Amino acid sequence: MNVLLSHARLSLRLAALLLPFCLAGCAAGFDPKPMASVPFRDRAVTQADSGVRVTTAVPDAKESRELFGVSLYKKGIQPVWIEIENSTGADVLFLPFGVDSDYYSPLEVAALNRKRSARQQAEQLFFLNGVDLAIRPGETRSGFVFTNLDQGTKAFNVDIFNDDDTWQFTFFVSVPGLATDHGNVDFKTLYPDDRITHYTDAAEFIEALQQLPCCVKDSKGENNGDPLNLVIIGEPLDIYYAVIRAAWDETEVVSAASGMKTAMAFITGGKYRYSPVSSLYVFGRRQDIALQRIRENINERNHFRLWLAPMTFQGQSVWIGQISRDIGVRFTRKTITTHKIDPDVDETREFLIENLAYNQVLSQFAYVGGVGAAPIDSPRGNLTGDPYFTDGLRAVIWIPSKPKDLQDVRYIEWSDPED
Amino acid sequence: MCSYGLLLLRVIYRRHIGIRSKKGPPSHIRKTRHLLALAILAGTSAFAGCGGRAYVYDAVDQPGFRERAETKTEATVRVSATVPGRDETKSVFGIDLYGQGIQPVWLEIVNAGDVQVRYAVVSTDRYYFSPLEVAYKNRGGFSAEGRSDMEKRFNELAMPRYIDPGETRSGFVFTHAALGAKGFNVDVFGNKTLHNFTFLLRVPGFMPDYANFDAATIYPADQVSSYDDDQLVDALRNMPCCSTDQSGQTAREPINIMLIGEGPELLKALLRSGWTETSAKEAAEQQPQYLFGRAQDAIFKYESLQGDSVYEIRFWLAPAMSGEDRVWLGQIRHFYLWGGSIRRFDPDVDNARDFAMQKFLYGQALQAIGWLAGAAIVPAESFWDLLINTPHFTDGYRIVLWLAADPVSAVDIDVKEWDPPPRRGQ
Repeated sequence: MNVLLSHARLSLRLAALLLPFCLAGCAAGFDPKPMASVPFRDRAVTQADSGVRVTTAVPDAKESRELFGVSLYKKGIQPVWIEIENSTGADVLFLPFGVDSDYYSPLEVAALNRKRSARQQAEQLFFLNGVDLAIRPGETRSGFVFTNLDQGTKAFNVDIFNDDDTWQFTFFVSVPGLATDHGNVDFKTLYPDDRITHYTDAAEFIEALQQLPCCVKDSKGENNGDPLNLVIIGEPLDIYYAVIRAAWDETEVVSAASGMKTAMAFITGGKYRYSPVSSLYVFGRRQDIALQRIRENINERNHFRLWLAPMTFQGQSVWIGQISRDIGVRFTRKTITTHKIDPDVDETREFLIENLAYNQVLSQFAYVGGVGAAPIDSPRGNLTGDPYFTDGLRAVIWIPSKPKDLQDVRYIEWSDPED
Repeated sequence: MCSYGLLLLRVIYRRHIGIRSKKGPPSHIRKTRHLLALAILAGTSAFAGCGGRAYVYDAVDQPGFRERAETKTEATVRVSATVPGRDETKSVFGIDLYGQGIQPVWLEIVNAGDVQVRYAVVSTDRYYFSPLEVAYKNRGGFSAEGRSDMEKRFNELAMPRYIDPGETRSGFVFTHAALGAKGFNVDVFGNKTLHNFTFLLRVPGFMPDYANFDAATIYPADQVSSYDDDQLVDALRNMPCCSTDQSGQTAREPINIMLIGEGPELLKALLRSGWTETSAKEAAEQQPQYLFGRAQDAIFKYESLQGDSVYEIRFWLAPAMSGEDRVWLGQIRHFYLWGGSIRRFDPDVDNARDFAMQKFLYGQALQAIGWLAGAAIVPAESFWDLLINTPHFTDGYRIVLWLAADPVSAVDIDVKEWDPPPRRGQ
């Protein structure tokens, strides 16, 4: 911790030393490249629906710097290129708000260029590369929406409307440059075919779920940690889209560079969104997928880990998982700093159910046993010594392949949670 | 007792660690010292638990905020809601939660049906605080017993999610604080049914800038003209282009948004779309803009999640009506933080206008929209021309928005066939 602190201090000092020189013009010349020479549109994807055709591409950090002469990613800004072809015969309006409800204005982004002599050039560049709301009949228009940075996979909507109709296109565009936890796992070869049990009968399936381990383990498989209070059922790709849609960020694999970024975020209270999640073990291996949802700052986030289970239910893949809500950072001997979790782990489990439902990615849910109850006055502890209490139930969550309206979410009575 | 302990630790730390000295001892000694420092840190935290105050609070069943509860019923579900003010919150929880941006909402749900229902906490605040999270944030300064008492109280007073048939449950949900008016939903799910309750409650202790504004008396009745649909377009086109300084002689920024609807509709639409009120005190500190010979009637703001960008909207009631509805003229401007601390005015005022239109649209607060061209156009070239260098640029369009009392989805919004929508730089 102290080493990290002194690194941080050093960087601050360096920045303070360099600042006066930068004002005098140490910044590299403002030298944006023409769009044709930056091949990010090779990755463009297109969707079309009744007279409207939308093509989008997301430049990565390097490409953005080349296009706009400023390191936009470092400032947490990600340009999204959108081209809209209108063959409807009427005016349509594009709503950049659907891409990001906190999108940046072109001149706000232009102000990131600190080279005074290039101020006007930068303003004009960003302004002219902005998007138009109006697209006339027969026309094709394109431009950039300046959004808040998402790494790994960028999920966004392109919403278009006019007096008679609305169009909504959902894009999942992968952005190069982030090693995510799930990226290293090959789910196809994880289990040999003969080790997978296929359940169709609910009673047998419930029995099997109750037999799954209660909790995560440490790397040696000796000590019990956080309770495994989630079971997720669905197609792997649907689950992946669902959690991204519900605004969960993929986490970066722990590495030297990402460790440094986390320490900086901890010190400044900043929002480094891809802070790596430490490894916990089930089935003798670390989590297959780790996701987190940032709240106010790094001290407050929800962690979510999933493992593919060696079973299917009615033809769909089954995952077991764990979710916890960080409510602060505390010092521990094992990991130097770790997150203090909300001891009411059932509260966090219920939050996940609601969060998925309100993002229209929950079709039905139920509860089964298997965790083992721990009342509030005799709590259990996780691997870092945080106490937790629980009713002992796991939430079983079905992820649909198409958006599901809130009022159509079904509750199946397997076990009943007590408040 | 505890403070003596802490003082002692500080003295030991200064004497034996001496990290202040620049030259620093060899690395193995430094390592030992760092370990010692960690041990002292641990010691300090242990000591912090040795004293501290007890957790003191007042009963929930006291007169005051509970008497202000509003009740709504749908089918077999009845919901009552009220928001304790800052002082009431201090008394019930013994902590100044408002000072941390946390606002408790008290709910009571009666389930008179024959199936279990579930209340969805995220419907009230998508980013709500969990009860024990609030307790944990506030553990500092309390004795071990005090902390335990506090955790128990927050856990007991939490609003439960499941309500069995015939049962009544009540408790608090911890939301992000809204001062002035608090608008929120309470969604209750039955078996494949959804009961949606929307509340708009006043929070005591906040005086909005429009508190003394009275739409009924601001114009004499004979000065207000009422227009039918055909006359309206011309009437709106002829509305003043810009706000002015106090003398009324010098034009300032454009009036680029017009809203049609009654005052309460306007307030609901603003709150539903995520705009927040400005207190009378805060508004008095800002430079006023003038129109119709007076400063704005109200200011509303939207601050981005990152906090680096603010959209500000100012309204004046116009001496005009569209049929039975009032017409409000507005000015929307965008400010952003430059270099971390300097507030800059965004000269692209059309961006601010288009952003505001979408904010209302996604807040499902619009029945209809229409574009009007032709007010004072300031081309972008004159902003970039070093000799003219206007403070802003605009295509001169104004957006006219008809407000909806109930949520309207984008499919049902009427787009008026007035002027074709604008385009950048044209």
